Amino acid sequence: MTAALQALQDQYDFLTANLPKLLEACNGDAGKENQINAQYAACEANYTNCINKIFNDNDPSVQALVAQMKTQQTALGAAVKHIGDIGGVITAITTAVQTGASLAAKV
Amino acid sequence: MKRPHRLHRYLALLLCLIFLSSCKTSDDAKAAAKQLATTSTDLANYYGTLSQVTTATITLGGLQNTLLPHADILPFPDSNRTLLNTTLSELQKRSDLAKALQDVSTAFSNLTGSTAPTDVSDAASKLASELNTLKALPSPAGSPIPIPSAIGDAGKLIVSLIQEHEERKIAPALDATVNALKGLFSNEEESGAYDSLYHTYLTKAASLAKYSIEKNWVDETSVLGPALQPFGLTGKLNSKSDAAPLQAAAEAEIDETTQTLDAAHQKASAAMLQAITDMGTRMHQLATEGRMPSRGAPVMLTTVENWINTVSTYLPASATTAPAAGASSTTAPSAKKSKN
Repeated sequence: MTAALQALQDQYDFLTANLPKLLEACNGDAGKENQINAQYAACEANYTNCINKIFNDNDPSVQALVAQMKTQQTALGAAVKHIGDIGGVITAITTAVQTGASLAAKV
Repeated sequence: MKRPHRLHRYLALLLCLIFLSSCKTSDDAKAAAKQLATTSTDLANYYGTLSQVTTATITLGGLQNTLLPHADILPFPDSNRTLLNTTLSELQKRSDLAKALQDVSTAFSNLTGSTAPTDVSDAASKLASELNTLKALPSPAGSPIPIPSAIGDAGKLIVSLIQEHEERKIAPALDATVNALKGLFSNEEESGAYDSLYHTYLTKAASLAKYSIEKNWVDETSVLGPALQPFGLTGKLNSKSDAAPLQAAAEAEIDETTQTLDAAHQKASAAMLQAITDMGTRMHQLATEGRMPSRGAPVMLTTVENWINTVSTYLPASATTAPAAGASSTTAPSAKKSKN
């Protein structure tokens, strides 16, 4: 599997696995639920848009973004461990998904 | 006096050799065609099963919309459903192409050593039609994965040769088609598209399965089956607190099964590629050397068939029709503003 597709799949996997937990943590706050669902949908669209492409692993900017996404994935994992701060988690997710969108646009 | 006899014997021997040689070539061609038909059938079924998997992913998206807490924005909007429907459509076209190649291979097998039957030209026409409708996999933001033009070119040649009953020239044309098909499959398989489609389906299913366990929508006593079934016993929960260890066991089982299924598909997609590669080698040998001694379809097809059979146990074809955009795929109550 190409590194770019792997990075997008990892982000999509992570959010899919944690989506119920993240939504529950919003405690019925419609605004926060909307933010999480919007970011999840964007992440899925990034992944699905890219599933059918051939990625060019030799493109340095793609490799840099892949590395960046791996770092953000780690940060995201750490943030979810402190899920009490749902606002901080949403910020971390939004940053990571935006990077995913940048990656999807480049491949 | 003995000379004419000897001449006749030599002549008879020569005729026998020519006859045997032509029979051998025909046998090899027939065997190759049958093997290609089997490989094409499995390829069509492989793509068909991936289509079912993609349809199931769409259905799971509908379940996310229904079961998970949400306000105005859905986790699986119609725009994402449309993207997956496009992928689904392309997978189905690949399945149809493989079926058409199977028909041509079968027709080629019938053609060898006989006069051309009418189904040969029918199959050839169908292949031509499938080749015309096949497009590259979609990529909204970039260049599409191209269908090798050789597939189209070779397909047209096969159609023309079959229609002209040129049996001996068909092998090189089929050789080119199989190799082009191998190029297409390996391009998409090695980029990880097939493995990824199945993996993300499993991840989505596992996420919802665990959520269902946490919500007590699942009878977790089923995890006791290996211990109870030999004795005909059935599990029973007396209170919700009893469920905790069983819930943990059920979630662990989901993780373990996900890994096992994922690995099985990775083996199947690699085996499919190997089978197409082997078939390409055999067709090339037939086309260039006029002989193909291998008998039996590529053995690794068993791995592909096992995966297809396993998927069919939990994704029956009739239960995986893609729901239309906006349609709810479940009778469960909507989770909009739900806090259960």
